[in-house]
Amino acid sequence: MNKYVLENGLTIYCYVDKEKHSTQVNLVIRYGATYSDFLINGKQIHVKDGMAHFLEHFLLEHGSHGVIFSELNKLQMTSNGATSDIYTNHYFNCVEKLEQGLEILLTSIHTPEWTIDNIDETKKAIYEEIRRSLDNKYRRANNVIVHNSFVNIPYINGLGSIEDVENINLETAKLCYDAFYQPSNEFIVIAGNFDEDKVVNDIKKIYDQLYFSNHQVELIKINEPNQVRKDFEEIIMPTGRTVLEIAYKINHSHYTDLEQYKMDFYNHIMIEMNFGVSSSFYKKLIENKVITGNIGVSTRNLFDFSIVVFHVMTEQEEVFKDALEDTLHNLVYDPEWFQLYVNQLKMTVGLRKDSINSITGSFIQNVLSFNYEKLDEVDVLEKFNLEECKSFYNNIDFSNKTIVRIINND
Amino acid sequence: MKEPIFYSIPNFHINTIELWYPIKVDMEDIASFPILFHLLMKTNYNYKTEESFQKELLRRYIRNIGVERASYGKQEFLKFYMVLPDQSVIQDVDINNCLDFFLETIYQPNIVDSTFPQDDFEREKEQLKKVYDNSIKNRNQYTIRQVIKQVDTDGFLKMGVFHHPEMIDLLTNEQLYQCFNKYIVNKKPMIFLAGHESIKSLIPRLKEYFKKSELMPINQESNCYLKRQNGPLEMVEKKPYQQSTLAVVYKIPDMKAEEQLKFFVMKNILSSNSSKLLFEKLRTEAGLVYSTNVDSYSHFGMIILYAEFEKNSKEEVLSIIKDVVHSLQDNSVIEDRLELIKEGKRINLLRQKDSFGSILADKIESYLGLETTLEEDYQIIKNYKVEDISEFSSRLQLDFVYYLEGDIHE
Repeated sequence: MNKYVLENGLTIYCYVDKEKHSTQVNLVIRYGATYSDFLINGKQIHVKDGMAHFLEHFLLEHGSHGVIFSELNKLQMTSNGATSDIYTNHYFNCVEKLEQGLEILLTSIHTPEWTIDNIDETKKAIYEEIRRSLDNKYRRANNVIVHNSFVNIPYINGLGSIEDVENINLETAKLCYDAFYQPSNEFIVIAGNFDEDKVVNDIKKIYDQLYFSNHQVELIKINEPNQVRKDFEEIIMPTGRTVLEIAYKINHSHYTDLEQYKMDFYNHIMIEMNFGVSSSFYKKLIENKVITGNIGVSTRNLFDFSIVVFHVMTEQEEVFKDALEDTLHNLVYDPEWFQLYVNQLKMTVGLRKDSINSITGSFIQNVLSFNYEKLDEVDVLEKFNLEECKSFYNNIDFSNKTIVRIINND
Repeated sequence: MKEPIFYSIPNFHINTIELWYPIKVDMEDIASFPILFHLLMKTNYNYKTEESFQKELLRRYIRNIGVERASYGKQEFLKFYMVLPDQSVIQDVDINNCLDFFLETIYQPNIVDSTFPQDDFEREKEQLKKVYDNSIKNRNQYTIRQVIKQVDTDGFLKMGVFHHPEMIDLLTNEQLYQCFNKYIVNKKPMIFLAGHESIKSLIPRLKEYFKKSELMPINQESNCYLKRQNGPLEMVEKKPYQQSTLAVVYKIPDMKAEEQLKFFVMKNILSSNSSKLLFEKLRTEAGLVYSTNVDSYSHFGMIILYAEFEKNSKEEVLSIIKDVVHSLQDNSVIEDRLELIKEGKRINLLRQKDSFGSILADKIESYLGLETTLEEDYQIIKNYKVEDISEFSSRLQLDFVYYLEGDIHE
């Protein structure tokens, strides 16, 4: 991956693969759903949930080129936008006409048409997106888990509530846009078959034509204790079977960026070893008919914490919870399984070059989550070892948890 | 087809083996398949626990192994597949060793006295019931089920447990074993290998292995154009959801096999990367939805248009959907979009070269006479005139409207 930094502060990362027939372009803004409190030129601003996502929609629909994906689709490009916890991504994939695609995306995103009508129009589709998400039990559970995990941080989810979005006004939206959509707060990742020098030059020329406000922005960090806000909540909505989600809040602020990068891999291994089909935890629960299928485990980094969620359908909740607690406090480190899972990860990383989406996706995650400006490499994975893995998990505090139960409303 | 076929696809770092068994599913077997798939892919005769089976997958560097039911209209297959990394990524992968495991997994399952382990069987039945129970509480899956129940005048689309959940309880372990014998044992599949030259070395072994097996015929009559349904034109239900859903069904009962590509173009005008007529009308212009969807059943001459929205918009949404479908008869609406779709087909020929799965599927489906290749499609589509499509679209008949009203608001 080659890196270029322009005078205006924009960073461009290029990954050229002449065997590919397409090119993927990602414009990444370091502005995500969780950025609610910040200083802009020394003035304190608080925004409700949903602002970053709103801006993603607004810019895709009301830039100088109109609806960006319509324009890019006419050039036979696939395109979309996405807002995550810590970034917004506007992207397209093309086979031809890369230069035109860059012009449309980069210019349109940076020349929005700020009118009250456009603001109101944008909200309509988002209201439906919110309603749709509320019909999804796992997304509902996720909202409750986040809300109940954090004591001082009011963040719930990136879409916001309907009321949050209704209250978005032009002035505040523009302020957030001006603050965060600046070259020094953006980077572009391009992967595929393209002329690297030409593309960097094209991007430079496009940005030279654009105007940016020069705001000083500083994120405000809110002190958050290790404890959860609430330890249990029940959601009543359509579901075939009762679902239990047990979420552990784990402080990871004392790990360095590089340690957190490694832990991202070690987490995968530890989850498989301790909760996967090879684990005693799984075998016992199956033998005792507590579960009939795999247990879902997900991890998410939010603020200075990892939220690790176990998802299960079971009618023996107390048995499951006891088994889970027991396993968490007696984690297994099996050398044979450890090596097997490292080999699996090496295979995954080694095969990534077959897909430019996989390359760009994992790279963006590395840069934003770990300040790691490299692709994952098999050579690095080969140095992973069980002793290092143990050292990361030995002192983890699993005492802070929140539980959500989803039951049917019939 | 008697001999295994090898396709050289050297620009990727994987090799695959696929075994395609033509099947004609009887009603008594519909619950067997999902359970059989799970049981076959979790253990085998030599590795009787999930743990030992998982260990072998990892030890042998098997990237992926699985089975699925693949449908091309009324022609169905059981497709077993195994994906391996090429030795340029993982030197230690032994393709002969992997083939041994693959064939053991399919032909030497964990069976004693003509039954699968009773505990495993009961567990999978229970798991399937959970999946079913959850599906009918999921708004989208429930909608699809209700629609198909009404419009499938042939009965083929209803040949699954989601339309016949009673078959789950009726299924016995003995019947499951009989299903395994009926569709797999002593049956010779179509054998496809793809990737690098190295995998060709497996061909003699595969020929030898299957030399005494019975080759199953492919049913070339995969098309079954559905008649108009005799029930009510509209059905309304209410459920406790945030959003409401409309599903609008159109059929072309007098469609012919040679019109498949016109059907493809018509559907793509409504919803594809090159043209998003339905989305533009419902979201971009009217602001009534977040997303739309068009499901196409080309072998059955049917399309289903879906929209999700807030309940007060129902009449407006339905009116727009009907207008959009009617506008497919208007040459001025189709003209530019047809050109975009033609161009899109050309671009997809290039884009396809970046996807191993897409390349392989194109070759196999063409070889088996199930579909024409992307290149063949393009050669035909590029000569279509506007009138070809408008005339075809004029034969669409409104068959059914299903409205699921969500009666919850937060």
